[in-house]
Amino acid sequence: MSAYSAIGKSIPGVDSAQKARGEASYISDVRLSGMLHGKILRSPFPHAKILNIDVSAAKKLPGVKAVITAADTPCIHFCINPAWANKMPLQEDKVRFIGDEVAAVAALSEEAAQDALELIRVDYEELPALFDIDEALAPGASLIHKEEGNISFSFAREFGDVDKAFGEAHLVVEDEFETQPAAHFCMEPRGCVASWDGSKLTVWSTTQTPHPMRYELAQTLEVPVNRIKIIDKFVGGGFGSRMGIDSIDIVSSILAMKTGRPVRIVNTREEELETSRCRYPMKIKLKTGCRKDGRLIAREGFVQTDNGAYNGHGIAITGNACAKMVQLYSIPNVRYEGRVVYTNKLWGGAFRGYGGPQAHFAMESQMDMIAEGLGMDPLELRLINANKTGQTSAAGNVFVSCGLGECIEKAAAEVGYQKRDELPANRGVGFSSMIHGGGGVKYFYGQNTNYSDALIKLNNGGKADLLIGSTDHGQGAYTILAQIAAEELGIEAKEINVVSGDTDATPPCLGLWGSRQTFVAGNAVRNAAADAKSALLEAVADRLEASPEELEIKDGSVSVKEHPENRITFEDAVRYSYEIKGRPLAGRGYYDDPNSQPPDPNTGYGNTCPTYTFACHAVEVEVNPETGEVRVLKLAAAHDVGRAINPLMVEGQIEGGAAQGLGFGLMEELVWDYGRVITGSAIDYKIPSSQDVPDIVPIIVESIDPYGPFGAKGVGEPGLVPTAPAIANAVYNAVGVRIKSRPITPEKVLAALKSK
Amino acid sequence: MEYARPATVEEACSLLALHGEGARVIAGGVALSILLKQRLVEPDILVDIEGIHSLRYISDDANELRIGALCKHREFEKNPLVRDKFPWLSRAAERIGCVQVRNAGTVGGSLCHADPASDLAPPLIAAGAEATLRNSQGERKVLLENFFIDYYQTSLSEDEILTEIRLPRLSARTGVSYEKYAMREGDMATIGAAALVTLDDDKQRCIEAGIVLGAVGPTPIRVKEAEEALRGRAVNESSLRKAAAAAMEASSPLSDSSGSEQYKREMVGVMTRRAVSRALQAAS
Repeated sequence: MSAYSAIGKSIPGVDSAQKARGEASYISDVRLSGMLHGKILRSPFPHAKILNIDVSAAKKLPGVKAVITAADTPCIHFCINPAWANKMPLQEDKVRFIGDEVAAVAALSEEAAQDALELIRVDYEELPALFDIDEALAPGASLIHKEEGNISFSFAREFGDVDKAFGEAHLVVEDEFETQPAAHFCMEPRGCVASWDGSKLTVWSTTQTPHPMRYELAQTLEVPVNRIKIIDKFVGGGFGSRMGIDSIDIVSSILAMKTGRPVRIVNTREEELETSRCRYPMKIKLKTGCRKDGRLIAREGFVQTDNGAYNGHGIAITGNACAKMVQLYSIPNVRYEGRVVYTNKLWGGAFRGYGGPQAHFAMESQMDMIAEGLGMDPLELRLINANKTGQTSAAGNVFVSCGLGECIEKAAAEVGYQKRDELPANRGVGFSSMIHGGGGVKYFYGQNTNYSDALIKLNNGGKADLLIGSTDHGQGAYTILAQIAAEELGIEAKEINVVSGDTDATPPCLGLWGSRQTFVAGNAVRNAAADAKSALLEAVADRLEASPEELEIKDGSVSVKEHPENRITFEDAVRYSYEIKGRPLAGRGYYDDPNSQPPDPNTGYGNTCPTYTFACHAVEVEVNPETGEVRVLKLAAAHDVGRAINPLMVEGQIEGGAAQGLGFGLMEELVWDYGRVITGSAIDYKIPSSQDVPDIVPIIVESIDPYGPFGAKGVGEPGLVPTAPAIANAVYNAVGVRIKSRPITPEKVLAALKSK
Repeated sequence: MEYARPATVEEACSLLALHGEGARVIAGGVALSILLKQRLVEPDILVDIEGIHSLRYISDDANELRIGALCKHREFEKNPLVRDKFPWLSRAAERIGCVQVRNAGTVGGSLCHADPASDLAPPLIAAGAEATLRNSQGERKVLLENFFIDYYQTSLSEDEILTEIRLPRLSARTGVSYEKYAMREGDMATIGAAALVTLDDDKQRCIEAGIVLGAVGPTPIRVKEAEEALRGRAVNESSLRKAAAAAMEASSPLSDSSGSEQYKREMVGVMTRRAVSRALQAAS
């Protein structure tokens, strides 16, 4: 019998019925009186100077209310970290990729706006364009920005003595891997409806980060924060792509301020694939040395990231990819180098896993190669090197809860790993581990913060309102946070009204990213609930003739711990406080993790995340030797989630992540031809459909984190991190070919089979 | 853009005659609605023939299967008559898109759209299907094999509507098969290959063969050289290899996100072999 009443229960989402009935409102549902439709004119060239823009014909078109260029904007660069910013909402003098924003129109209809775009004349002077890292780094290559050699940023770190350790290694394995650019493909395309009443800007958005977006809009529009309101109660998928603002948010706001009418811009699927900032493609060199007994003792990594045309998250994501090399296994000597290179292609953004999926593809593919080199079972090799609770990495990461070993054993057992040699021809089993931050990171906008705030009102005449400053993009944050509040208050989750999606009314929160809502917002909510609870117990203590410390709330009643028969209902207690004591009840709580810190600027040492989460995916595949097709027959996904606040939702997150990971592993890839995207539709950009996804068996491992709310850690991102390397390892086990570049397409497998 | 919804074929034909090239026929709208949204097609008038209920039937008539042009893919897939007597055809229909697409799309619409990746055209051509085209003056019949002219182009005149597909009853000891290669379930075909094989009385030699490829050229491609490699011979490794090689030779696939030209050509060989082997099985 669980000691908990509200958590650990697989209740349906607090908003599931609303969504199932089609009542949840998304950006396309926002239709305001007098609303105009905006469209953005984008560069047709991958790299060109803008010599002149003539908007006169477009302005004269009937139905057109405004046409803007950079000259109509404050020309302020924006970026997740202002120190790196080099992108403007509309480009002023130069365009750097096909799709780059040049001008915008607001008109009475989408058609009129589209027609107007065709009337804008832009004179360009084409410049040599660079489409991959090697081209961009070549001596004499044209410069995309001011930085020499087109290198946006580079860094190097060393922990321990790597050269010495390699010298002592029994086996050294060195390989190069490559990962692809990939699209988030949110079911709801990015959109924005902005409305300006002369003093206040109201913005309906698909953002994952409403409060940070409010701040960023204030900066880029030069309007104070208190005159901006962001509304985003429901978001149809984010996966990182809606972290921070984008040009359309700024452009629609400016168009609204110029016309005095609401302006709506919603991406088409084609625009989404052309301009929604993708997963960063990486080239990864990885060298690992181990002792004869399998202990990893040295590792060296070199990550080159294709940054695309502008600085987004590329620098931080490259850093995170490198950091995984020292975190996943206990390796005392690790050195890595990162290099972020501009090209004339779509710029990248945050994407579920934040560099982790790229790094793990290299690291976990190589683990199987090391095992083969040693003649050792790859499962045993991982267990020997897996981190354990209480360990600290060579870079200072403190693993306060770690269920990696259990994840590995359970996932492998689920797909029959021990009997994999008995499988028929062309079938094989493989697996992969992973590590990821489980509660955000002390680094946002270059600030030393990772906070959330929460407010709870206990209502006279009806349980509680929970006010939170983040949104829910489908992962279930509203439900999880309601369960945490309910547990603390001794009531039921369904009795909590979750208030969100309005930055005027909700407390500050850094938003949805870094798998941080359950951990960080969860702790804030728990603190707020505890605060409200103590106010209630204080108010009602005299009624129960006890001190507040002697009271508890359980199953909807306030009672004296030692004399449980001495009780009143929660409602009566609240009524007593309001009506007899004249004391309204509210609680406030915030959380900013005290145990983590940004890495030391000189050494890179530091415990960057408040906690870490672990997982292992194991798959069975069948390879068709005629076509090279890889079919995943079964996928077991074991995740250390600290504690499952809502097992149903945790399983949903794991399954969704694994399906996306399968897509990355086998088929998803953005492809450009001389800078023009050729995977610009749902036909050409291939995400797995329900028919391509095999049986997924989610396995929940609970390591009970000492700092998580009731022991919980985040599970938002990890679901897709280990899937692709697990598939790569299974393909090797099935047919003996090692595919080192993602996605593992039939064509690559067939070519490898032929050259075997 | 105007919109008309005639109730009879005659009415539809006179609208087409009146508006000429400014008119476009729409039925299920699966393909055309996308082209309209992308402004690739901008007609003056849409003639919606979905209301012409007389064009929605499947009947077994005097040794032939008659299929009304407005028959939905899903009906095709589920129809007991088709499943029983032309199982290869319902299997080909099953591979089209997803259930939603199959419930919306029509056989006639798919053929008139003339996307070379159509899943229905290759097996229908291999089995000798014939299309009936009507205009205000009357009707004409054209072998489906000759119906396709180029990417998205058919021999249909501006004032004509495809009203029916007729499929002759196959002779004894005949098997037909359609094989499709696509990276995902529900995708358009990357490679389509249909085969028809008729065996002699002793089931030793192939006396009639049909090989038709989809998605690897501007139209479905009937590969006569591959048919020659089988006709009059035993279907064995040697004739299969020759047929597959001829099919590869006849194909002209384009590199895209589903694979390079070279890989696709190789898959033409694999799919042709599979189709012929399956057809042979069905014929035996």
